[in-house]
Amino acid sequence: MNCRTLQERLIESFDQERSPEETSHLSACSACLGLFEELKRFRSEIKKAQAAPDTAFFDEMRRGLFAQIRENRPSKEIRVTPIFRKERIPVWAPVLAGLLVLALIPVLLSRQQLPTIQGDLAFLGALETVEGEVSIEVYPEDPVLLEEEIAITDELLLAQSEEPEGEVWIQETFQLLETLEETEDLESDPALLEEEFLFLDEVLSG
Amino acid sequence: MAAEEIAAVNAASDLDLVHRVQEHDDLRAYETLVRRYEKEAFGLAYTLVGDREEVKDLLQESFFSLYRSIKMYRGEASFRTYFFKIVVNRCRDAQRRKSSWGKIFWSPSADIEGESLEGITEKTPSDALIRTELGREIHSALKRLPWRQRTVFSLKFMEGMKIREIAEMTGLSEGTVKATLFHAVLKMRQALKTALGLESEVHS
Repeated sequence: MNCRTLQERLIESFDQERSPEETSHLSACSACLGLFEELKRFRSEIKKAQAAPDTAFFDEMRRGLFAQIRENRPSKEIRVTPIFRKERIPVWAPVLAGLLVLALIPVLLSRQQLPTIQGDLAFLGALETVEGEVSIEVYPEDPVLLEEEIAITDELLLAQSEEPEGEVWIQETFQLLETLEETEDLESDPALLEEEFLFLDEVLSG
Repeated sequence: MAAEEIAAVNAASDLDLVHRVQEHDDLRAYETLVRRYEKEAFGLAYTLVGDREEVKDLLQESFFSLYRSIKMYRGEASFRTYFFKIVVNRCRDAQRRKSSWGKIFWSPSADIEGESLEGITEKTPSDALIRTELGREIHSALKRLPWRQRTVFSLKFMEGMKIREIAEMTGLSEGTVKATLFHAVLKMRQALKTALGLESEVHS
């Protein structure tokens, strides 16, 4: 075993049991042993830095969290229809939705590897597919639940039924939309819009 | 709630607690999950963001997001991995908003050596390490890492995750995670060479 191989292994798994071969190398190589000791010290120092704040910090965080949850608990379930809250659609939304779907199709098809974790869809509320239809629990305090998001959801769920990787697509698309939603002056900032698309493309292409 | 019931909730597995929330909207079960992961999540978010008050908001957002999307969790990944992914995404979004809008220009040296550090050190005794020179050096070096390296490094060295778990969480291949981690360690060692008194050589 050469030094490079061992050092890569040490970095990847410095906190695990060493094999006899690794132990033998370490006892004969001061450079690798030095790295091993440094990594352990590194971990130790960083763990100290990780020390959590006092309980008041978390008590305050939890109070805010559960107040927010109680205010936003689902109160009803609705069936999504095409005319749902139409009056809230921004002018640019249909164009954005169309561009987004078109831009994502070739990227998705060309992907070799995709993450498998489902992501954070929270801003839209809990999303479920019931026998091929879309059902969304609506949080009454939600500031925005735009129709185009629903339309895109429909599209994406359709894609998901045909393409197992569509779920990742949904996740990333929602993250993008969430960012756009938080962006107040997006409409007047085409550069930012382009940046969002580039970011999404980067995420999807791994 | 009876003491026995409270004990049962506290002893329940993550998956059992998730099912209680999914099926009965059981907030006590959810609070148990929150308490179980809040400190670890703090450590991770603090490493990534570096501002205590911002971390508090990000934790609240992350737990709220988790609550609202918990029905999507089907137990394919470990709950910890699933939740930490939300935390990392929240931190990344916060970081991106900063850089997109230029509200706060990311300046590691300013954060560590300037007012932000003073704010952190005065808040709790548990932040004591930041007062030390080495603590400053470590946080300063971490903040200088590119986002991906900082994330991978933090997940490995702070959360003790395996390469496979980090890959699963970040959506990167295991090879990419290994390479990213290797480069992050090289950079950290270079940055901390004097502070840690490092002498050994890493073959890059």
